[in-house]
Amino acid sequence: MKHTDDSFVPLASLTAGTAEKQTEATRRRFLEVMGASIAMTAMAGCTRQPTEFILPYVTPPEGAIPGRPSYYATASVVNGYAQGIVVESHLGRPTKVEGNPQHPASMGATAVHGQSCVLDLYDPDRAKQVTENDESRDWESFQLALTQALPALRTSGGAGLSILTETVTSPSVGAQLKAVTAAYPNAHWYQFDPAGPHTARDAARIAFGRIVNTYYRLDRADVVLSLDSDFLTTGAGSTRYAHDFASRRQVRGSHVDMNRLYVVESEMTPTGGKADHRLALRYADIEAFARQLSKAVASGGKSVETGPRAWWISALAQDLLAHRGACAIIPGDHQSPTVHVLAHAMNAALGNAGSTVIYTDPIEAAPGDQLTSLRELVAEMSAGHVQMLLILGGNPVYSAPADLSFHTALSKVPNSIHLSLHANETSALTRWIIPQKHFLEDWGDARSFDGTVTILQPLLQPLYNGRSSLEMLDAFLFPVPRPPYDIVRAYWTANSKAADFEGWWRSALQSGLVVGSALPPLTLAAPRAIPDSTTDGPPSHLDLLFRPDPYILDGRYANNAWLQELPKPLTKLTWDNAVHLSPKTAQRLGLENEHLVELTSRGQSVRGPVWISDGQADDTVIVHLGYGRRNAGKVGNNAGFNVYPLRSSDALWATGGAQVRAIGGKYRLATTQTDYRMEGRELAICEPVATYVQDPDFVKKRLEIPERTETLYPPWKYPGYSWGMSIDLTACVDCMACVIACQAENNIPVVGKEEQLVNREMHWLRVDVYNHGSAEAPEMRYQPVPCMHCEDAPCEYVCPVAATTHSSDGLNEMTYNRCIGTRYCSNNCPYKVRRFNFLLYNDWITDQLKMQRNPDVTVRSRGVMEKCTYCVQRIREAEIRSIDENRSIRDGEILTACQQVCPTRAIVFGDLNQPANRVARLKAEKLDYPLLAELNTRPHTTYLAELRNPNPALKERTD
Amino acid sequence: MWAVAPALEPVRESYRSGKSIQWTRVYDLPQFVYFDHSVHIHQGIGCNSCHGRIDKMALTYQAVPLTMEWCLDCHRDPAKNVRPRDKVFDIAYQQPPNQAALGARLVKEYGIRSLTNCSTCHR
Repeated sequence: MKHTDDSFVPLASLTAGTAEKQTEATRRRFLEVMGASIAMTAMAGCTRQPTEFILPYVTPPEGAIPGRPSYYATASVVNGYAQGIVVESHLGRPTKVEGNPQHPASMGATAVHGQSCVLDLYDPDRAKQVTENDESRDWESFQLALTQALPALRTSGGAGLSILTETVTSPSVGAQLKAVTAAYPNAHWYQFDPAGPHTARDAARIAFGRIVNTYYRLDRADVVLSLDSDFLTTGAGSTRYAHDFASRRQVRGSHVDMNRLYVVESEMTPTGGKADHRLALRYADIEAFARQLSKAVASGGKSVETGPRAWWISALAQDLLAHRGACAIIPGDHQSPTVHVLAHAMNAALGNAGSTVIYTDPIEAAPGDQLTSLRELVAEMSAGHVQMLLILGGNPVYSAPADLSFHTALSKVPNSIHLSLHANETSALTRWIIPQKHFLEDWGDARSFDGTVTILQPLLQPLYNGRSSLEMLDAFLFPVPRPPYDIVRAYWTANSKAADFEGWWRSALQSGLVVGSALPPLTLAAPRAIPDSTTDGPPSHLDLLFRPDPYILDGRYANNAWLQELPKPLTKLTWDNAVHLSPKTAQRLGLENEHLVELTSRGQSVRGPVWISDGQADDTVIVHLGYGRRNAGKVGNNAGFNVYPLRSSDALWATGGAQVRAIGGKYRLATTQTDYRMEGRELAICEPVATYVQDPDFVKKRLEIPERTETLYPPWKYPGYSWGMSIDLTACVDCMACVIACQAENNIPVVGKEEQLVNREMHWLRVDVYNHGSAEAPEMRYQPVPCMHCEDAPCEYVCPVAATTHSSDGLNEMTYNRCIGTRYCSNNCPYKVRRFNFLLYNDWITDQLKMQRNPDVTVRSRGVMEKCTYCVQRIREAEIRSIDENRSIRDGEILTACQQVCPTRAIVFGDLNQPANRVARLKAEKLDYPLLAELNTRPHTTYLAELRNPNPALKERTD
Repeated sequence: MWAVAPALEPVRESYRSGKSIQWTRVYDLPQFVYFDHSVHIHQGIGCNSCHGRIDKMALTYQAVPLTMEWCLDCHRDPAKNVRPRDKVFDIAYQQPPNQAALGARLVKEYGIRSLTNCSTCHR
């Protein structure tokens, strides 16, 4: 397919990392050449393995035992917001991230970005060298240049010095910036985050006269309404919200009290898929809906409007009013400020403030209107007033609103310095590039969604002699900048208010958070009312909505191969973004999946492939930021198409009047799931909770479970442990953290788009999405599918070389060194959970990527089959530890990688032989059922059927 | 006397320079075998059961085949090789004539299982 537009690159060049692929020609040639030498070595006798050496430490690091990992608590920082994590380190190399059970933002789980940060650390495309005008320099020469420029700056009080950062929540970085602006009074500090909560800040100022931080206590909520908010999987608090939300949705035995979720949104999000009731509305209609709801709430539940949704609004209002103080209305970060203000007002009227809705002081060190800040900077740059611009992180040339023309303004700045993890689009235009330290290499601090402070500690020495923001700023304050360790300690010595600072410091590092540092709740006056809007005109043609990509966000993670390959929630797209349309709109425009279209808005055009999303609002085009980059690195370059040219500063998230026109041709999109139907089979069972109350045994009645004896094979006996897993479908929210955690833990390779197109994905775990409703009114069901570890496994008895066997503790084992690659096992697996290495997908060349690998798991070569092992390395490790300590394995001692990161605790693993164990008790629940039960495979992984809690007053889910 | 012995010069040099001594592994299993030493010692397998009479070797040699079959031979019947825990580091230990009975008793006492699962060693 010929493309005239150069934003698309032929597929063959989109590969992951530097993995070598053997083509037919090279393999033959190799055998030709080696054939002779193979014959010779065969006569030389049996060959031993390569010689291995032992190199003991001369001075061993304290507490380091080779083979036993150490764990350090720190935080993963995404867009400035922190989430507490515990990092597993093997001999000084961080390999895996786990959640910090004590941290309020994670509760032991992690989001997708917590898992992927390890690969960012080892990204071979990171900036490694200080450069000036594309010539190699070093830190000393930068310092020299800075020292020469500083006297002039000091005399002028910093006139001409500007610093641009993203959102800063770090108390010590904030203090440094304030110190710099105090030392140089004419210098300015600007902030801009392309995908930050700008609307929330604007709305808070309108409602309360000041910027406040809002977060939610969903563990206290019986009814939750989302106004265009994907709160379960997106945002700084999403991991905690998912945990709390799911905790109020569990049905166990006779405990059937469930919360209820209403979602009103334009995009089909995972949160919307979880809703008990959902409405798909256009962007502006959501604001109208919020106004109508506000009036209904004020009038005691009677909808004062008439119209198609009057009964919906009325029922919703009554439900909210019936749960005063125990409901929550969550406005979306990308909605209008009006919707936020209305949400604040309704929450106040419903008595939620202080209970389910908590207001605190802002988390940011210097909260402000970031859009105004950026506009001021661009104006100053364009006028030639900025002599030295220090950009700390970020990528404004790529991601600033297009109408501001940041790159043109930047060209007027004689001395620009970019501190960056990668040499990206902005670095290409700045004079200096300083490699930035990754947060896993650095001392620092950051705040999370409720204000809790975590002191960040490094897991290893900086790989590339990078610097951090703290050091860069210190260079303006002191002739010799202090190390970040000293700066952070100095800040907290002054601000910790601890009687025993050393004890405080050690405790903060050891636990991964500063206890009691969550910002105290505020009691605010009632929000100011919004004036009634003048009647809106008819909606203009097509709405265009911009959304941060669920994984790549604003583009910062474009070079992270795990995130590019991770199937997006619901659509399961990989390696690309798309122009998303609803089925009706696509039909009206005569478009189908993968059709190339030109998307025009405000005189600018971009080209992209269409993807039809069930459940999306009609006449709405949704595109995701972060793609189409040119300077991302080998992985991210040219993946997808860039939508930033369409995004202007007065309409960051939504604009009207967009046009879509087919330009002919197709662009292939790689998705891991193409069929959303269950075809009448009982795969993901979901019913209203009333069905369960009426007949608790309804699940088993639906299935044809054959007799245990209806098999040719004798029953297995498990004298010791018998490992099993239970997955609660009510809790799963399709956040995909489990999939990426499995990839990080088990050295699962990335295959690239070309291989994804032929369905050769390697993720051991997938989350299937089924739509049991219609295209317009979808009923989404999520089902994680790892290896079922069947007792009568169809894969075991077809292997000709016994490479997959059954263990005496219930596992279906996979022995890579025995496998010869017949793929009969995968052929026979009814769940299709086996993955074959068709090519050498693992990168055996790049040194940095070798550092990330888990040494406890084999790194597979081509030609071998692999699959979920129940994290057998974790099981064996726990087993060995328990034997050494003369005890048996405790319940909850082994957490599989997927279980560990699941925010909602949907996955539970353990020993089935102990009836008191959590997993055994879950399997005793009546909701428990195996997948494809009629095949009599007797899987050790079973599911708890999903229950929903629809409002009896709302018979239909949408209008 | 030993502190200045010429034979120990590599050790002193290593300490001075901070460079590790490069020992060549003799008892070396392939990389697809995940072997844990601590659990063997804990469960009553003595040093010389696998390493031979190391104390009598002027130059270390591999005294046992270390093939999978050899390992399985013990794994299938640990009773014929297990010794009391306090004798694990006794390099000159020899099995008593009643090893079968002693072994059976120790296997029960220490809770030793006959682990012949593939995933015990191959992950």
